[in-house]
Formats: sequence, structure tokens, C-alpha cells
Amino acid sequence: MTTIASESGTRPVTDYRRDTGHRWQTVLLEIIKYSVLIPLTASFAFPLYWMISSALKVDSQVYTVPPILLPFPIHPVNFIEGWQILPFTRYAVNSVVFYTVPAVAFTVLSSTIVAYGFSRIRWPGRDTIFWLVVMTMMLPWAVTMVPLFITFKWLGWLDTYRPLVVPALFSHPYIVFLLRQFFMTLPEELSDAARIDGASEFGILFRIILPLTKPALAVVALFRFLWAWNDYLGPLIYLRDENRYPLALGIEQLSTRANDVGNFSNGIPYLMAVSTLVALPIIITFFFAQRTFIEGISLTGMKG
Amino acid sequence: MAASTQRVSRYTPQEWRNLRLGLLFVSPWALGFLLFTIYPLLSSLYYSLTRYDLLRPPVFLGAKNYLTLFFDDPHFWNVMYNTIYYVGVSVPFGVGAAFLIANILNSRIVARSFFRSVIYIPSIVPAVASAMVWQFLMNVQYGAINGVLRYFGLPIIPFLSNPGWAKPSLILVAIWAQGAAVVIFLAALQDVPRSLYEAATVDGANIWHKFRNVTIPLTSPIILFNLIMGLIVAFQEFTVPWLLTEGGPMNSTEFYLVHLYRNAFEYLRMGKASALAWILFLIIVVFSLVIFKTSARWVYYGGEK
Amino acid sequence: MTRKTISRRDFLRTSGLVAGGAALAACAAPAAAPASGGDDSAAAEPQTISWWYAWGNLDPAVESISQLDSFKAHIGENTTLDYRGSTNNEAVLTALAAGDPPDGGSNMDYPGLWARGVCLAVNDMVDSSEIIDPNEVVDAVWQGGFYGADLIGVPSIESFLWYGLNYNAQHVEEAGLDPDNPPLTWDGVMEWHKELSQFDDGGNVLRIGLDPIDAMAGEPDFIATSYGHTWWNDEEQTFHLDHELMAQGIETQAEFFRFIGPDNFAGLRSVEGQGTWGAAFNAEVQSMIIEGYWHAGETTIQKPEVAVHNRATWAPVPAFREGAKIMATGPHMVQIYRDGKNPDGIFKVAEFLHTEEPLNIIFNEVGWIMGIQSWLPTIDVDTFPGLRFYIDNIDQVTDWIVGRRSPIHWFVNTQLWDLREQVYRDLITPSEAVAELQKRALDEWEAQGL
Repeated sequence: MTTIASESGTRPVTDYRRDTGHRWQTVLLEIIKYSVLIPLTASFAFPLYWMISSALKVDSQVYTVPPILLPFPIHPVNFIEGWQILPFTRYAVNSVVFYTVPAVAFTVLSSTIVAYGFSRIRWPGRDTIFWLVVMTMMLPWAVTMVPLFITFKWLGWLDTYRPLVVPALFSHPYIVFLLRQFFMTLPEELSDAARIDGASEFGILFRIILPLTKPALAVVALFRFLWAWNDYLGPLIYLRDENRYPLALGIEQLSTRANDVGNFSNGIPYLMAVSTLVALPIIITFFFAQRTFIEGISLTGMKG
Repeated sequence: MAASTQRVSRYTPQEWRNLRLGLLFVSPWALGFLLFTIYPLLSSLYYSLTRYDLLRPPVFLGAKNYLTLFFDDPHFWNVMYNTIYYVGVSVPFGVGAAFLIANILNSRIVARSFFRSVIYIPSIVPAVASAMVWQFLMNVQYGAINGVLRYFGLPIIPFLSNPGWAKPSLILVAIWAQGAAVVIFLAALQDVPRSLYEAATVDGANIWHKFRNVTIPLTSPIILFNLIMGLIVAFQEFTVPWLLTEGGPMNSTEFYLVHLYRNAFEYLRMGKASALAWILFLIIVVFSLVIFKTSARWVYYGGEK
Repeated sequence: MTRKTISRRDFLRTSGLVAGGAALAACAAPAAAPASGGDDSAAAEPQTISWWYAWGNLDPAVESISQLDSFKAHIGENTTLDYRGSTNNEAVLTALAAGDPPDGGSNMDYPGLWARGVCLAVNDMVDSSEIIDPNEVVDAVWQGGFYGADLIGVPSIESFLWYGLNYNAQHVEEAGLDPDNPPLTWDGVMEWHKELSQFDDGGNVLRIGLDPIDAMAGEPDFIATSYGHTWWNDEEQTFHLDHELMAQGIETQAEFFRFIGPDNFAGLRSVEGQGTWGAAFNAEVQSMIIEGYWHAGETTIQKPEVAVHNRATWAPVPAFREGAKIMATGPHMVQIYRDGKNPDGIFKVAEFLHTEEPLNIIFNEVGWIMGIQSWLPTIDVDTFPGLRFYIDNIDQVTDWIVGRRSPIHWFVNTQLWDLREQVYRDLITPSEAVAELQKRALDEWEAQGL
């Protein structure tokens, strides 16, 4: 796929449109296009809009027929009150300090080293073994879920974040794959020159290759961040103590709590407010690193 | 490459050095592969032949777990049906919808990156958060959708409380979160050389012909990729059904991983859960192989192979 | 030693005391906590006692109890109680599996955990206790803690009467029915159900009369007892689910669903605040509920404006059993885990719960009653509307059961829910449902290696 990537710039896109025929046909096509696209996009956006707008309501604005599209007055205090019903600050610290940060750091570090070994050093059998990496990418995690649980239980790691972050020290096949793709694009001469100067392989990796692949590192770090931040099943299996919950389990806890009548009113607005707050870092990151996201996700498909 | 194993004795010192270095660099992966892939795979095969509740030592049962699942389990075939239904509808529809959206976005569009962002964002929002909002939206009593229906005096839709509606409702949520596939398709579409479309135009091809004869063949490897990845993900869908319906109503959304989780971590039936995991593993392998094999007929690999 | 049912006489001992009132209470004041420091070594090492229980509404009471000076003195000055509510059976199972369980647990699947061999028998501890007097505990409750000769936990926290038809008298009056003449048979309850249920113009349900499987009514014990059947033979350890009376009971409940519409029911339950045990009654979208004595207190504490309308009567029986008055009881316990670090500590907690202060705290802050005979007469039964029914009518009961005795009771319960839904959605017949239920129970029994 990648080989045919770069020939398109020769003629402006508009030529293609002009060739298709008469003006009115083009206009009709445009109308059809937008009349599909706009409602479609609106329906993609609606659930998130509804999440945010409901976060600003009180109970009396939630249970109405017809539903209130634009709440007034709004109640931004829900964001504070909802956050305080359960120790969400602690959950956030758990999510960041005990899960996301170590998972990202460990994965990126270990996967960088492994990807280097699979791309910048020529050793016999390398590409054959790399196939194993590709195959593990496709291995359903369900198969190893139960025995890993038993193993971690045996190690006494249940109710800690170790089952979720220690494996990150051993690299992640998907991220190794992505980084390898990046490393392969760098010219071999870079390394050769450094080797002649007596640099070690680790020296080459950290002083020459990594500075050149910062965008790639950003991509994989971003993806790992996303997986850890959004992970629900992992913490669900391994964590029992509420004090150690990450945000994902905290939200579920809040929804259960909102189900107990008599606990508090505004259950739905609080739930939506906290959900918004948990989704927010992801959405903000997306807007700041949009190009990195799109490039990264585009690259994942480039293995045909 | 295949010949390399036979030349062991003929490695040059440089090759030896590289082999040692290479193995050193990939050793974290190799160790992890043994610890977190090979060992669990083999041990789960063993556990699948036992009765094991973690509290008492495993009891060897032979193939009993498998036989019971296939021939004498009240839930297994229903779970299988639910899962195949879900995969069979959500993957083709999801990939199809993603492909069409990507094609629209690939044409000349005002504010393309805006549309792309809006469609992509649902796929990165934490699944727990989106489950919460969908549960709210689809609620029979006060969900926004039913609120509108009620307002117009129409009968409400029991999205998550009727066994017939529950699966389509969850599929809808899955398709909503297809943004990543859209972005992948879009990138692939932008790589299709303009010149091919122009040549087709010269030959008098209309839009459909171009779509059929240029766009689809040139993006077919990516369609294949998205199909297989979609399949692996859909077979193991857990978070959304677990949070939205907990397998109900009437087990209609008891999907494979929900059932597996329940057996393993609610009932502590580690043996049965391991057997379930292996069956799923084989199913996914078979499905992927079938898609790969048949793909030879429709996937176009350009001049590469 | 074990008994699946209890005789009227067993319980009369309690009722006599209650009826006798304060005079008797004066004679038998509950044991006061020992003055302090019976154990001199307690002052040495700082210790922790960990206790998990499933019910979140117990939290405020436990917090109050743990602040009591008498409690601190009893468990030892250097010892702290680390309690955790809303911890379900699965959480305990995984903690047990991980080899790191709490010292004790409550509101769990007691017989199931016992059957898996993870608990200590507490006979010796109880025998040497200066506080717990088995003769003081309502006999049926105490006996409910035994499996064979083993006492599988310390009956405590709350253990009293389980079945009654509670109804919102205001709703009943609004529907033109007579709250002083509640129905006693299923046919009668069905008539009320039809009158009390409300729908909007679109046919969507606004309020239901009775959710026939909410709270206690969902469990197999209830259907069986209502229909005069026993599904689990405790002495022979045998299942009798595949029985015509079970099928009839399921069909009766199914009729309530069909009237409302199964989707409407599911939808109503999925509403925030209505999905859990008993919550729909408190949210006033349900007018009747089959519940234990605790309903009166819990509703008063959580929704006083609803609780003032609460009344209670006998749980319904079929027409052919008209006049039968059914009731269940059974213990909640503090179960002590074999792999816990501080079995003596958690026993002290359980022991302390038998003294007057915690009994009063739990009654006032949560609404629960422990069947301790000398203490019962000291409570004001009119504190919570509807509670009086349970206390005043104990000697009228004709059919007793000690509930939740089967080691796979909770498994059978989930399967019953599953199959009953298929019945009320008309996918299988009630007879097919009970046959399948029996089969699943036997399979599970074998699969668990029991």
C-alpha cells in the first residue's frame, strides 16, 4: 500500500470534478452529499452533546417529555458535586499515577528497544520471528485472560495494578509493530556512520534514532495512554478495593450508587457530569494532537 | 530467510555479534511472549480439562467441560447465537458504513477535518462513559429518543428491555464507535492515485463504475484489514453489553465474553471458562482463515504480490 | 441438628416475649459488654480487624458502633476495625481465591462459602463466649446457622421475619380500594394489581401494582412456601424443583407480568433509582411489595414521606390454601474465613453485635432487628409504619420455613429468574421451566463437586 502513496499531487483535485459533467449534476451531487453527511455527523455528535447538556441539568429538567435540548438555567455545579459524591480525585490519581503513566512509560521504553532489535539490527531469523509478533497481535486476549488471572493470583498481585502494568515492561506487539514501521523508514547509513564512530547500539538508538522518531513515539504513547485510560475490563478483573479503583470503575460505581434510591437526587446529571470529565482529557488531547492521532490511526491500516 | 537456519555454522563473527545483539534487544518481547502468551495458552488448555474454583485444587475431568458445553449446557448455544448475530451484523455493517462515510469525506468537502473529527471522537471516548450516555438515551422511561416518541404520542421503543431490540441496539452503539475504521479508510482512499480516476473518466466511466473498479480494488487490502480487526474485536465485545444490559433481557445480549467473564470471575468456574476461551480462540482462527482464503478472490495487492 | 422448617412453637418463644412486653424485658436485660480489658495482652500490638459486608446502608451504623467506647474496649485499644460495605459475594470469592480474604464477611452466600470449605466453624468460639447466649437468640434463627453439627457463622446484625405483603395505603385509597381489607390470596392481589397499575395514553406503564418478583418474592423459597411445597430437602440434600406446585407458582407470577407487559417491567426497572431491590416501592412507581420486616424501617429512613403510607399483611397464598399464613426466617451472620489473619478479632466484633448498644444503633439507623429475645421487647414497634404486623402476628403463622438453606440457593435463584422470564414471555411452559430448573440444579450440584 505505502508504495503508491505519493503520486497524487500532479493535478489539482478539481479537474476530476469538472470532468464528471454538467454544472447542475455537480450541484445535485453536492446536495446529496451534504444531506447525507450533515445528519450523519449530527447523529454521531448527538450522544456526546446529550452527555454534556444533561450534565448541566437538574432532575426536573431530565425527566421531561419532550426532552429539553438546551437546558436553562444551567447547573455547572453538577461537575463539582458529582465529582465529590465518590472520591473521584483519588480515582483520577489512581488512573494517572498507578496505571496510565507507568503503562505508557514501560510500554514505550520496552517496545522501542524491541522494535529496534526487529528493524535496525540485521540478525539471522529476525523476520521469521517478527511474524510471531504479528501473530500475537491477532491473538484474542480472552484466551489468556483466565490463566493470567490464576498466575497473578499465585504471585499475590490481585488487587494491585501490577497485573496491568508489569506486562508493559515486556513490550506490546502492536506498538512494536508500529515503531518498527517507523524505524524501517530511516536510512541505514545513519546507523552505519555512528557504528564506525564506535557508538554502541543503545547509543545509536537513544542518540540518533529516537530524536528522529519523536512523532512516532508521540503516536504510540498516545495510543497506550488511550488504552490505559479507557480500560475497564482489566481493572474490573484485578481490582477489588474501591480505594484503588481507576476512573472507569469509579463511573460504574457512581451509576450503581445513583440506583440506590434515597442516596441523592440529580443522579443522572451527576453521572453525565463525571462521564464528561473523564472523557474530557481524551477529547482535549485529541484537539491538541489531532494530526498525531490521525496519522497514527492511518498507519495502523498500512500493513496490506 | 527460510534457509538461514541451515547455515548456523557458517555465520561470520559479525553475524554472530548481530545475532547476540538482536536477541538482546528483542529479549523483553521474547520473555513476555513466553510468560504472557505461550505459558497462559498452554496452561489454559490444561485448566480447560479440569474443574477448578481457585479455592480447592483442580480436579482433572478430561474433555468433560467441552462435551458439556456442546451437548448439555443451557446457555452455550444461545451465547453462540447471540455472538454470531452480533458479529455477523455489526462487522459487515460497521465496516460498510465506515467505508461509505470515508468515501463521502474523501470527495471535495468543506471542513473535512471537522466532519472527520466528529465521527472519529466517539471511538476514543472511554467505553464506560459512552455506555452511560447510551443507557440514558435509550431508556424506556425517560430516554431522549423515547421522550420524543412519547411527545408525538407514538409507542416507545424498548431498546434495552426487549430481547428482540437489545442486540440491534448494541450494534447501533458499536457502529457509532467505528470512527477509527473511517480514518483508516480515509487514509487509504487518499492514497489511491488520481490518475486512475482520470483514466477511467476518459474511458467514459460513471461514478459507480469508478467506485466499483478503482476505489474498491485499490482499498481492498484495507477492507480486509478492517474486517479481520473488526471480527476480533466484535467477538470479544464486553464493556458495552456488560454495562448496558448485563447480558439481558432474557440473556439476549449474553455475548461470548460476557458469558466467559461471568463463569470465570463470578462463579469461579475457571475450568469451564478456559474451555470457553479455547473454543472462542478456534472460532476466531477459523473465521479469520476463511476471510483470508476467500480474500484472494477480491483483494487486490497491486504489483507487490 | 439441622431443620428445614421450624415449628410454630419455636417461634412462639419469641412472640410470647414480645407480647409480654416490657415486664419481661426487665427480667432479661441483654448482656452488657464486659467492663473492658478482659484481655491484658490486647494493649501490646496494633491490630486490624477487617470485615466486609454487602449492604451499603449498614455503613452509618457500623461507623457509629466503631466509635463506641465500649466497642473499643471490647476489641482492644490498639485494634482498629476496617469495615467495607457494598462488597458483594464475588468480591469475597476473589479475595478468598487470592488467599487474602478479610477476617469476616456478612450478607454473603453463607452455605455456598461453607460448602467450598473456606470458613471456620465457630462452635467452640461461641461456647466459650461470655456474651453470646444461644438460648437468647430466636431458636429458628440460631438453628439456621448450623450445617450438620457445625455452626458456620455467628448469627448477628439482623435476623428476623422475612415475608409480608406491604402496600402503599395512599395508592390503595386513590384506586378506590379498602386499605383495611388487604387481599390474602393471589387472586385478590391480582385484582389489586389491576386496579393499582397505571398507564399513559400510549400504553406505557407509569405505576405497577405488584412486581411479583421484587424483593423476597423473587426467590424459589417464596414460591414454594406460598404454594405449600419444599424445593430443597435439607436432611437428604435433594432437590424437588420439578413439581406441579412450583410450576403453578411461576405461572401465577407470570400473570402479573403479562398484565403489565414484560418490556414495560424491564423498562421500569432500568430507570435510575428503581432498578434495585425494593427501590420501585420507595420511588412510588410500585404500590405493593412482598418484603421482610426491614422494609418498614428502611423505607422510613430512606423515604419517610412514602413510609408513612406503608402497611403490611400476610404474603399471598393460592386460593386452595386460603387461610395459610406463611413466614420465613433465617440468620444473617458474621462468617469467619479460614485464611483471615484475625479470627479472634472478628469474633469479638460479632460478639459485640449481640449487646444492647449496637442492637439499638442498627435498629435506629438502619431499621433492622436481631432476633434476641431479651432485647426485642425493648424496641418501639411503632417506630416504623408496618413493622407492627410482623411483631404482633408471629403466633398466627401456620407455615414456617428457614430460608436460603441450599448451598446452591443463589444459583437456583438466578436460574429461576432466567426461566421465569421465558415463561412470562410465553417461550416455554411453566412445566418445562421447572423441569429445566431441576436439571440445572442437579448439574450445578455435580459441577461444584458437592
